[in-house]
Amino acid sequence: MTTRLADPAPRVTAVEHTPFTPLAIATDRCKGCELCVTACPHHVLELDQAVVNALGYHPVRLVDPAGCTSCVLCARVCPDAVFTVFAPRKEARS
Amino acid sequence: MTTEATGAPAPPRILYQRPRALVDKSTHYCPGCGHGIIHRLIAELLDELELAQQTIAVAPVGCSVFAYDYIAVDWIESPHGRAPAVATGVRRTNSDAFVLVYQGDGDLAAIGTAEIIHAAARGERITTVFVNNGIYGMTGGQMAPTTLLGQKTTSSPLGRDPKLAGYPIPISEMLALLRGVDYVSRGSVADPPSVGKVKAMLKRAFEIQRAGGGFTLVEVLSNCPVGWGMTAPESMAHLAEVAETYPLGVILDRSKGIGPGVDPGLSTRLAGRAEEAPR
Repeated sequence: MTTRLADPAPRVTAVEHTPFTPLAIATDRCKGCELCVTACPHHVLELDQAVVNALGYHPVRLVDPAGCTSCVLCARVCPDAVFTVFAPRKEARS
Repeated sequence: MTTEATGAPAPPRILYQRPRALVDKSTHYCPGCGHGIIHRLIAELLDELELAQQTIAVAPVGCSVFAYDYIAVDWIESPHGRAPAVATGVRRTNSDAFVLVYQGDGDLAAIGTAEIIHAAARGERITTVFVNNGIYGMTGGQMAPTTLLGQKTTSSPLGRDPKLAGYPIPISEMLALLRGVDYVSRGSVADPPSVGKVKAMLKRAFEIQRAGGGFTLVEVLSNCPVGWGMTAPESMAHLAEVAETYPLGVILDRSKGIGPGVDPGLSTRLAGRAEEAPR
């Protein structure tokens, strides 16, 4: 019916995940609005002032992967849907 | 969480990823604009309810004029304010389609006031997502009918004065009075819990349309960081002030007996009060 539907397969694969990080951030889409930085209850996100992406913004960066609890609040407020959130690994929690 | 055979770590479970119905491209919206959040919520629901293939959406004029580039369903671009009229035609020629209308406040509450009221009065089986940021964002931040009293815009530099420019129009409350309407609610994208509530409201509206109900509308209080002269987090915090003029919550849910004119005990109580009242 429509040719614009995206590929049904997940675009981020698990193989890309060593070492484990709970967030994958599409930094080329980030506009640096800081809504996720404000929403994050653990204060583990910040704008990466050392990087300017193709859109001309400082993209968001996960400062402390161990401090992230995969609560998904950043993804809930992101207007550009840059976050993919993974469940925390059991050994990482203990 | 290691597989015993290989010792390799098991693939991490995905808790959240970009919805498939959201086209994989960057939007033209300003940083922090609520349109992006609302597009994403719609796309998530189209995925969850498996509606994308049967949806025909109608795009407005305004900042969200390019919505057809971002959500992977079939779209029609309507003239300014006429999205409900276009959607009426879509509905009446496609009885099986899921009809979605996306409008901003300049589009719906100013030039398109007649269309939205009559589509609602006819009880057209369409769902309207009404994004209210109280300003004409696309044309440079002019005053809209929904602009708050005292709010400074490029066409009300001293703040909106009711003697000169009248009062904000509570469109949702007005539409809730019409018999053809089955569901009206108002949410906000101010913070993660509010975003979750908006998603629940949209889901309820979508399900009412799928179940054959009448007109449904979800108003979403959104921000305009550039038009309001604020940073994105400041504009989200400011939405609490906007919600004082536009109270949040479900305004009408006819099948659940919520709303003006559908409270079963209301007419009895009003009748009793009329008898008590001095003549």
